[in-house]
Amino acid sequence: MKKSFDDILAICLDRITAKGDSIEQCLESYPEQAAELEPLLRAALSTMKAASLIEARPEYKTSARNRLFSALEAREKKKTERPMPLWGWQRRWAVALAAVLVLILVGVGTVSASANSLPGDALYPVKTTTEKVQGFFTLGSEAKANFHMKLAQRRLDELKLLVENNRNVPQSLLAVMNTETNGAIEILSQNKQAGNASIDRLMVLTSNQKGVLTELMGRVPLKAKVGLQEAEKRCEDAHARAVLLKNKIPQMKKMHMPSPSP
Amino acid sequence: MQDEESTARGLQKRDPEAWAEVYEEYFSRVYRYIALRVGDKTEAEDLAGQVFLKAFESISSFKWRGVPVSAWLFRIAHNRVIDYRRTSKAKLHTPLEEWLVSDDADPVLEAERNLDIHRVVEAVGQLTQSQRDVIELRFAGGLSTAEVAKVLGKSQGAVKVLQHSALVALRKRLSSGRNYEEEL
Repeated sequence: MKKSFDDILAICLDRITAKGDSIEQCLESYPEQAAELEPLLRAALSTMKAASLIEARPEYKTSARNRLFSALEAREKKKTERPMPLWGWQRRWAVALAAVLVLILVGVGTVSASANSLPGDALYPVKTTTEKVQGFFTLGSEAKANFHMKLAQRRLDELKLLVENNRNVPQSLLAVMNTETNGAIEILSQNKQAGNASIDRLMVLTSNQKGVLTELMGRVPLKAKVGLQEAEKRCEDAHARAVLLKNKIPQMKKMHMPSPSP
Repeated sequence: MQDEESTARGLQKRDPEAWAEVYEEYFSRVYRYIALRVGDKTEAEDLAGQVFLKAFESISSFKWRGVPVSAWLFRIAHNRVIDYRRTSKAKLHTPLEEWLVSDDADPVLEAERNLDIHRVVEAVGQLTQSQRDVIELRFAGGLSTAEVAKVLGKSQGAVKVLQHSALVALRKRLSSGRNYEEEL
């Protein structure tokens, strides 16, 4: 069947945009239509070229991304806070039983072997599931905050190893690291009795995160750099919040101290 | 990008990795499409952010029926722009010298690029609405003919006809300015 001019134009545009063919290559394929095709393809290319120069300001791109990930976090938080139909003690036993079943099915060896796995490895989901079970059995707000910090540090170590081994850095790893850090900050800011040691640990963690991300920036491909820059910005914010928390602690403690008897 | 179906499933599960991937792949394309449509970069930045939030809110209603994620996302963007134009009172336009976000040290090159963008925004703005729809999705959004047809709910044949007539009109308008053909 003979192709219409509209079809030929669409084919040429698809070849130029998707396959990277040149205008000349397309014209060679359709010599009879070349004279009519050429100016239209050049107009299309001119439009594409100008449109490709339009870029959002990086700060807007970052803030839109943060809004999207905040919505994701809020949704996740809501999901975890949703009351389960079982009573507290029943739920605990159900999770414990599930953990034991996982251990039996997967094997203790597999769980310990997963400790050194990295995102993208077959055993990595075992590692994160084990962490979720550990998180469930971590009791007390300060212990929970420390557990969040431990996981944030673990994600940072994984990031370093991925970059050192020239492996792909998934965006979700950076998002999870920031989420764990924020989780610790949230708990410590609500806990008026939070100890200095935990706050100090948080400050070291956030400062270390920023340092590592800055160092890795020059070693990752351009595509990963954008994500790293955004994560670095979030680490800066987290560090600022940690400093604020550190400064607030003496005042909070003072407010909760029993007043001296007359 | 992974294959379309697994990306769609990841989005539905609210998997941060899937969302990060889609955001990185499409934010700039959605932004360019909106910028060309509304003619104002600040409004476009705001609207592009809203498109991804709207996508997140409505992902539970997304059904995988072979419609690519790109077509779904650009349909949200398309509808968002229609709503915006219906409700916004002032018609904003980015001044000629402010289109580019550039750290280019060469001010002459930057001015030329700003002029190129401005000429294209002006020329596209003079097309009929149906022609604009096709050109903006195709060349700013980077969608294929088939994807454009899905976003607009038209047949591929209709999109091809509109694409042809739009390029004839664009060519006339662009060539009445500088000789763009020499630049390529």
